[in-house]
Amino acid sequence: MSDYVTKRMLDREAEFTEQKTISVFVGTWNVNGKFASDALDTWLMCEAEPDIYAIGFQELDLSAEAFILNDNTREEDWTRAVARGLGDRATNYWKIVSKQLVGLLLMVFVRKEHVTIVKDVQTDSAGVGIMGMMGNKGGVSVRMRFHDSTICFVNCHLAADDTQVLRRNQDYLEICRRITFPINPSYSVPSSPVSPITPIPTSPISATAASPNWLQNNIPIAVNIGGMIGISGGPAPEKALTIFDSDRLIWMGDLNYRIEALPLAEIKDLWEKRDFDVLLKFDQLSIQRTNKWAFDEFEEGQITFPPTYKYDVRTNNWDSSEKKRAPAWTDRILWRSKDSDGIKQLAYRSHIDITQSDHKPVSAIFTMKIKKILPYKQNEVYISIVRELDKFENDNLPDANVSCSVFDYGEIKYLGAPQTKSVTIENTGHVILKFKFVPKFDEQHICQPWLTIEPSQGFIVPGEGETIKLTVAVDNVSAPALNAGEKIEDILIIHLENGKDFFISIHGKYVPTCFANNLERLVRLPKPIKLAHDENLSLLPIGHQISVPKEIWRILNFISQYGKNVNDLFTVTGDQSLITYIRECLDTGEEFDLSLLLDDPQKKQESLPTPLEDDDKTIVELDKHSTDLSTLTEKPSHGSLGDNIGVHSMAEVLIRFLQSLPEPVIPFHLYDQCINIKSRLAAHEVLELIPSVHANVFIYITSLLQEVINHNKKDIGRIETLAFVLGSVMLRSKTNDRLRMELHASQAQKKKEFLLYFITNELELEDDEVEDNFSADL
Amino acid sequence: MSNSNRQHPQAPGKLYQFKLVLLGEAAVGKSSLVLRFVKDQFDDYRESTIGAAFLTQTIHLDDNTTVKFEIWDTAGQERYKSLAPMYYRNANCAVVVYDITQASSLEKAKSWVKELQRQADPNIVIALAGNKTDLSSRRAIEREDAQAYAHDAGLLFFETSAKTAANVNELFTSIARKMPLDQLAPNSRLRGSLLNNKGVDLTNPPQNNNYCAC
Repeated sequence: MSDYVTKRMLDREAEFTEQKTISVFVGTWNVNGKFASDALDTWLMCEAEPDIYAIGFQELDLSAEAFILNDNTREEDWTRAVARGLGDRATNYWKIVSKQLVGLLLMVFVRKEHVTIVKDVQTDSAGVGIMGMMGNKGGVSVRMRFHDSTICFVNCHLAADDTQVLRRNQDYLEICRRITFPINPSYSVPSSPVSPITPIPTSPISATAASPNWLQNNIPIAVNIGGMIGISGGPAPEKALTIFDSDRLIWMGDLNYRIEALPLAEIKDLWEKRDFDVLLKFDQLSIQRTNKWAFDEFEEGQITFPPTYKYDVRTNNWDSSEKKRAPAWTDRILWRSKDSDGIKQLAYRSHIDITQSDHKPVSAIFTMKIKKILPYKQNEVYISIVRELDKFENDNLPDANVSCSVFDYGEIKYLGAPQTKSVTIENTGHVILKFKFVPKFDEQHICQPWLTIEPSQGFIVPGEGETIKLTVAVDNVSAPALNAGEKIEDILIIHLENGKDFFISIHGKYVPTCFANNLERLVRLPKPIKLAHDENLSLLPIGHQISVPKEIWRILNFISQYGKNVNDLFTVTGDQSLITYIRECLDTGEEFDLSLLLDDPQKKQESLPTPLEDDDKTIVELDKHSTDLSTLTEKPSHGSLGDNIGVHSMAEVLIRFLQSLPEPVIPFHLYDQCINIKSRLAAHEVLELIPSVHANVFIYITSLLQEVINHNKKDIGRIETLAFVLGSVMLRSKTNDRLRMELHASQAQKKKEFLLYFITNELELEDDEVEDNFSADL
Repeated sequence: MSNSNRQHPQAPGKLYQFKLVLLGEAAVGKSSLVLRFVKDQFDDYRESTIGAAFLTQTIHLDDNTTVKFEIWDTAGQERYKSLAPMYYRNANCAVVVYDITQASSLEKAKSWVKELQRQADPNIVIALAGNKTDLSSRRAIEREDAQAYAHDAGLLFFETSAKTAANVNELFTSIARKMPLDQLAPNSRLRGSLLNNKGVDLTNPPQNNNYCAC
């Protein structure tokens, strides 16, 4: 975010900055090691009182000691001279900083009223003289902030001699490279010596950077979310700024470039004719700049003054010594502005009446445009940018229409046909929408087990929609909780990534069933479950429960009455509609309609039990049913499904009932123990370990099986089948039974064996010899 | 000099981000307050929120602190009450809204305050907002009563009107000021930014741990 804000702030800088124009006097003079003696007023005085004086001296001290001693006496001397030169004006200025390097001195004065707006004053120097490091040649620099623009001054003395052009170019590049300012100065500018002009204020030093100044002011930079996001202006990586990292840059000094390839006489002649154009063609600095060898980043004003070097001291005559050095514009002032019109030169001249040096002083007067940040407006702009960002962010949040937020599924039955309703999510936002159903607070699943959501996540492009199917179906997994009183009620949460949430309410009316209940609960029901539920009856108190669920008793009783002679009992699939009918009878307590469940109720009851007769009857029964079929429209019919379909359906009801128990007849925790039992005694002992209602159900069922077996004259195949089928539902492992059966076929065998301990006589069953015994019997 | 060693008058700014949740009975004007605060808009007829809406808004305080609220506006209907913890769980601040024309809504607000004080972050800053002052002719809750309650419960208190915008910015600004900015660890609840690929670093709405697998 901060990068964006920074960029937008830059774009709109003009809105919160005020342009001010200041005037700056820049003077440079090679004093040739002389003490101050001449009056400097002609050099320093200009019409208006400039806001800033930046004065550079070279060759302050030519003595050998100057290289070693950090001698301030010369500076004091020249400071006084400057003060004298300014005359009455001097009291209007404060020297805010000076920087000396051997013979180089740069002093900056500002008008008193500006002292508080000059900030972040920094200095540096670079010696490029002897050995490329000594201070006899080099540069000194002052960088400061005036209001909210940075101004940098450089005063230099480059290599001498007219042949040393390349060396001067190199010195220039070295100075540019080596004068640097830390972004976060941890030091203060050394206090300046007390100037005779005025007391020196201690410069307020604070953070400064190449970036726009308002960045250091109050614009948050770092971002880290949730709590404090970040602080700008803290320690940043130490990165040096160069002189070019300034809004305004002035370069002055004895650059030492000469007029080359022209005989002295010709130079003098051209000068007499004021033919600057020709002369400047031979000016080395102009040549360097034109060819971009040095100083090409800078601008320079038109020269209209005579070459400033070399004069006989105390005269305005060119060098008359033996060397007869050719005149040259060694002393120059150049500038560079970040904005195209940031600096304007008003004057560029030399001052020939000052004669104490072999150089003439040079001065330039500039106006500079200075930015002043208006904090109030800056805040306004900042707030508006942040608001823009908020708007952008809010507008680009994903958004959607959800077609419906409440779904009523009406009556929901156990194992009923799945009820599907659709909800459409339409992407009404401007971005790709990623949606996802998420769990509620502290829940694991996105919905209740009786609901399926398809798809539960996805993405939608703007303007398009996706239809989601919400399907309610109650199975053995989801039924127990519902039978125990939980409602078909859920709230789904559709979460849009990076955005809002939608809630969808699901309602339905569950019809409870005796299936998928704990046996302990069934025996405490005061009435059949549907009536108990509808009448909102509470469970019988513990101690008043019945011994076996009525529903089990009814199933077993029916099979006992009508199924013992059905020789493929528990091996033939029942009829789905009859199964549902039986279950509903069990749920409501309604009597079984024998006309539906028995092939011929009258005949059946009379003829129990002769298996041989069953075969004869088949054809007759089929005929009979084909006529009955037309009359049976409401109630389920087994039609031509086959013989004994009602009994088979009842048998399947028993199997399904047992299968639906959330806790099987043999509780899960005894499963492993039971399948590994190796003796009849141990098997019977297990019954002591299980809850009484489970034991009772187990005994009821095994008794029925014994009855069936006895009735069928110990058909060994039948016994095995019964034990296998009932064993598989009464003994269930907690893991997926079917999977486990596949993985371990022996598990089914072991379940069967466990059951066999209960449904065969001791005599008939001796451990591993069960099968042999039965075979022998046959 | 008096200004020696003085910090720059425009000290570096700080940007904080907080999760703010709105709670309150249905139809007291929670969404309207957010809409007024974020977009300076008002709808006379607004559909009830069925879910939790998310918006962000930044406030710039005078002391160069910038506070960005990520606002979760929750459904007020009773049937969704159990879902509220998802939204106030990691909230740094909450606005509990009631309707000054509906006496029952203040009771509901009080129960939300109680729940927040019991279940939410112990440092949560809670503001009580009596909305709909534009309907003061039908006022059912005296300002003084609600204010006294807010004072006792340690809540910020404002009577607002999302319709006229009265006190809406003041409400959120005073929450921003009340946030314990100095005590926050810089990296608390650090969240990544997810929208970088759109070229703008927008921050990610809060993700409950429960459903963070986006």
